[in-house]
Amino acid sequence: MLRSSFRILSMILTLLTCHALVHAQVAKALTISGYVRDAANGEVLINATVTVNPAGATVQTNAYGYFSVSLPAGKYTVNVSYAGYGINKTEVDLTANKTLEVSLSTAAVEMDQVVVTGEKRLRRTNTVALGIQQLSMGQIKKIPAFMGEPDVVKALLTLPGITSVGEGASGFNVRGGNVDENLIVMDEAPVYNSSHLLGFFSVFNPDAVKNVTLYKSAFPAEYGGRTSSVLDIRMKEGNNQKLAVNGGISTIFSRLSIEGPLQKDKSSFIIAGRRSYIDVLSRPFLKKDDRDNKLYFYDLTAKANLAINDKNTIYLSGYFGRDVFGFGSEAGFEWGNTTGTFRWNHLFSPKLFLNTSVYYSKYDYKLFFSSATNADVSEQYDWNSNIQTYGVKPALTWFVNNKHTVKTGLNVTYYDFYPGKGVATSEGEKNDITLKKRFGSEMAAYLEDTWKVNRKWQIQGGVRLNQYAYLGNTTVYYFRDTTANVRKPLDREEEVTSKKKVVDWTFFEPRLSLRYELKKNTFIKAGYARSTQYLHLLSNTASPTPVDLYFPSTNNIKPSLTDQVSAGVVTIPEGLPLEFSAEVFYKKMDDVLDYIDNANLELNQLVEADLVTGKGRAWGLELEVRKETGKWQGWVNYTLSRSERQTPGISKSEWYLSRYDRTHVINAALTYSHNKKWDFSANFNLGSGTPATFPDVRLDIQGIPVPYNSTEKRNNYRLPAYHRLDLSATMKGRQDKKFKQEWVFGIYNVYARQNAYTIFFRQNEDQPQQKEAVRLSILGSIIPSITWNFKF
Amino acid sequence: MKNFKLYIVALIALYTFSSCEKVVDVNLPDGQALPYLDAWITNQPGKQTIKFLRAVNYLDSKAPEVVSGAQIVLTDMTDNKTYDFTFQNGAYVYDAGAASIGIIGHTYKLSINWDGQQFEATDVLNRVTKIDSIAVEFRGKDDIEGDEKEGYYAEMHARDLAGGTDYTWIRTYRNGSLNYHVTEMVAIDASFYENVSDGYTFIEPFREGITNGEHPYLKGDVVTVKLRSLSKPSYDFLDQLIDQLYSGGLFAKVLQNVPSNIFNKQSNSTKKIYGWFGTVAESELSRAIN
Repeated sequence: MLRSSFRILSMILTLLTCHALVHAQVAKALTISGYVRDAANGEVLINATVTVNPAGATVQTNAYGYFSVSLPAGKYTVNVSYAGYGINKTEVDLTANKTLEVSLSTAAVEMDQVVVTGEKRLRRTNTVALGIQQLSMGQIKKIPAFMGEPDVVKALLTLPGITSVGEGASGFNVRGGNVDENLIVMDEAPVYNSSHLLGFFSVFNPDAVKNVTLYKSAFPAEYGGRTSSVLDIRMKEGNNQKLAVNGGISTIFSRLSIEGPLQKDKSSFIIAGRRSYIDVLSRPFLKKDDRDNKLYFYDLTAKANLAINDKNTIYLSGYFGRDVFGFGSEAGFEWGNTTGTFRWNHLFSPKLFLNTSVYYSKYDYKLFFSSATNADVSEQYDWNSNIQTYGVKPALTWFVNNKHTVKTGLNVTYYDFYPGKGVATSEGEKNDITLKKRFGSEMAAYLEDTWKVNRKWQIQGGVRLNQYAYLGNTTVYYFRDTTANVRKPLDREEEVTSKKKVVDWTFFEPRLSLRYELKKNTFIKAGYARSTQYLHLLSNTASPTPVDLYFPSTNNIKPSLTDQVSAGVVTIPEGLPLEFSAEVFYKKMDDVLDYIDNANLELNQLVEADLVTGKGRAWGLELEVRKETGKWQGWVNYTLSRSERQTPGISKSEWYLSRYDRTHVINAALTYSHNKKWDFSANFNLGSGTPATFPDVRLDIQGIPVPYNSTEKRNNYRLPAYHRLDLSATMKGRQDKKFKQEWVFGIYNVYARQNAYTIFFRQNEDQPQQKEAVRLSILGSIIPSITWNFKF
Repeated sequence: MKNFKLYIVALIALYTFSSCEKVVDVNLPDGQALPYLDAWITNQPGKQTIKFLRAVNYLDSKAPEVVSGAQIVLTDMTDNKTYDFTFQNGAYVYDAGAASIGIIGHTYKLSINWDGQQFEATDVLNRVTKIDSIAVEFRGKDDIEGDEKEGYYAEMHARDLAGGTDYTWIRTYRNGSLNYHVTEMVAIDASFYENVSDGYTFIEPFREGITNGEHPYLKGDVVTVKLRSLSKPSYDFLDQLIDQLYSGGLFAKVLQNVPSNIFNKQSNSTKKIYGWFGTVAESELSRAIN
């Protein structure tokens, strides 16, 4: 099956290649290609705009800062621009293929204003696809941050269509999709848990992140395996000009990064680490017994690159993060991600760029409980669990000519699920529960063409062929189908001894984006994407927890499939420094994972008996105004949306709102550069409360008031609206060549809003006959913070 | 309590940030007055009581309305004996006198004839272990942590019966009435999971779980711990009930209705009786604090 699929795909590839080659030979074009870098530190710039005049050809640099333009011989001016940088103009007399090394310098604030009014830099308008949101670290750092720590995921939450279920909730929801439907890749390796300290911070060190791109719809064909969004995070390469040290000390974290050249202009490295120190600070205030308590998290990012020659560059990057909690010697709990990526960029010719990534990713957690040393019964409980992924991704970009850029490649992924092993020891006697390991493999091949049809039309069309197999070397369970929403009885189990296929699926995923230039700087866009998903985070709590399991699609759980159509318009009106955009989307989701009522997801060998699949649908309207130049910068957006599920036997088999549905959401993230010394920012978020299921009656059973929902409908109520204002001020201190420093003062939740995270019901502690509804707010007060950042 | 992994995660969250709880007004429309059974038969001699009631609005403090006019018969399937429960003082009662209805190892069927329809439920009465001791210690200022208060802390010691899987419901009473400050607990063998703790001493969360640190015992209190054996379905029912009961916090379980084991014999009828029928063996131990 797989072999034949690849054969078909390679045939298509060959056909297309031959055709394009013929085409290319006729045109006899020459190529201007090269890399765009930051002059100060040698970092390549991703998505910089390269415009060649008078030909009018415009291209963007790729994820490795590379671009390639094909032109007939002649004299040209190459303009290279990038948000926040001055424009680079190079005159080229093109008689043979030409390689450029373009270095851009950061624009000073004043200069930026001048440059930008002169040159209309396009952003959303640049890309063919819809639903792309990019954030630079500069923008992320300007958004007021929780406890003064700039945060990638928190910044994303200010964008339209991206929400979370509340403060402290892990992950994020994109356009009515679940948390596990986001593909988060850090330097090409998947990250399974994006949160530190439950959901308060994300695992990405702001000092090491270079670029953040989120695709909410019409994903490029190179991405697959998740249905809701793709968050592509690229880490810095490290300064290849001089040794530099960045750091910060904030209320909760200390950060330090060192970067520098290994060989000037050729290779560099970066090592960035951070650690929280609530535990260190609180130690003197704790009682002696509590001093052994541990509560910290840290992460380490390291990366090195080496330009072997003009044609070959290799990169090695790694990430290791950990959250550690401990209560003396009696309980401990830790979790974290580990990723490693090796990448090799190879230029076959100025027009043919190959990147091959080999990666490894692991998410694991451990916990233990142990009796106190002086306890009369000695007992211990240890539990660990992990998911490991190995992958290879060759990706070829072929800059065919000015009309076509073709991307093709393969993704081969192998999954190793270790759901867990628990060992219980009591008075020297040991017993364990080991959940069966599970294995899966994913093979994908894709082909995509970005086609500039003419001045008005651009098309990005692609196909992705995905094959997923659930593999053996485990016990395969077969269940009988019974009533909906009732635990399925086990029919039989079968020991599959080798890693052969137990069941597999092949999906054909078309991806299409269209762009039409209605008039100058006004574009209409439309897109369609199909995507499929083969692994699921098993979680039926209000917010996912670090101990939730990832579980593959098996013979009992079908992969989920999502189709999304979207359309939008983006315009930069003449004479206004603003970008207006509007997008609508509709998503249809099939075989979305759901749980029977009272599902047992914990340490359950037969967990598949409690899982069911249903349908989902989501639609929405997103409006946004952005201003990325001048003293005032930022964005204001409004989202109207709905996200629903329908699963047989659940909520009377009717459509019900998903846990993360929010009808209205308004975000405003604004910054004001007062002068060279002071910057001010504000962030405001207002949204409808998330749906919740409330009990309307109670059954008194053996003196226990059991909450019961007599409507039998899920998510039949809504929590009160969520709103929050954060402010921050940045004071720049010394800013000379040798040393730069700044102070960031922040106030999170300025007016101490007690937003409802959940509302739950209980009997009054002192008067048990009295029942009450209780609102839980995760943050009930103002959280001030101070951060000191330095750079030398 | 079963989800002790979540419990520890929630603890961390509390430890870290100042989350806050506030009693709020929630406007809930009237729910349906669902008919339900609270039927637990024990191996104790004397009166056995079955309650047939109607659900009341959650936030109302009034007592549930009694359903009269049903015929309730309990059958010991193992011995083929029947017991007719009669309606008196708002409940259905059978007085076994000095004998007991409940016998360990027997299967019981409850038949309800109500509103022209037949309903049935079955359960098995399993063995229960005994409580070896209840230890009490006074904890002063230096021995308490966090929100804990000074007072008497009780600890229960019991050992799981070896062989087979035993499900146990642990309830705590203070001076004869249910101690609302401690949580209801259920154990599988002596821990939270199957096949790991056969014959173990009940683990620490159960041992210490009979005291709430915010409301420790006082001098003169009598602490009673009652163990009730459960069948696997009854264990699942209570486990789910407990999930619903203590479902606050960052990782609150989404409210899902507890199931019922009372089936309508007219398979095409939509009429339902909610609630649960369980048969339990009991053992208990008291300790006076003086």
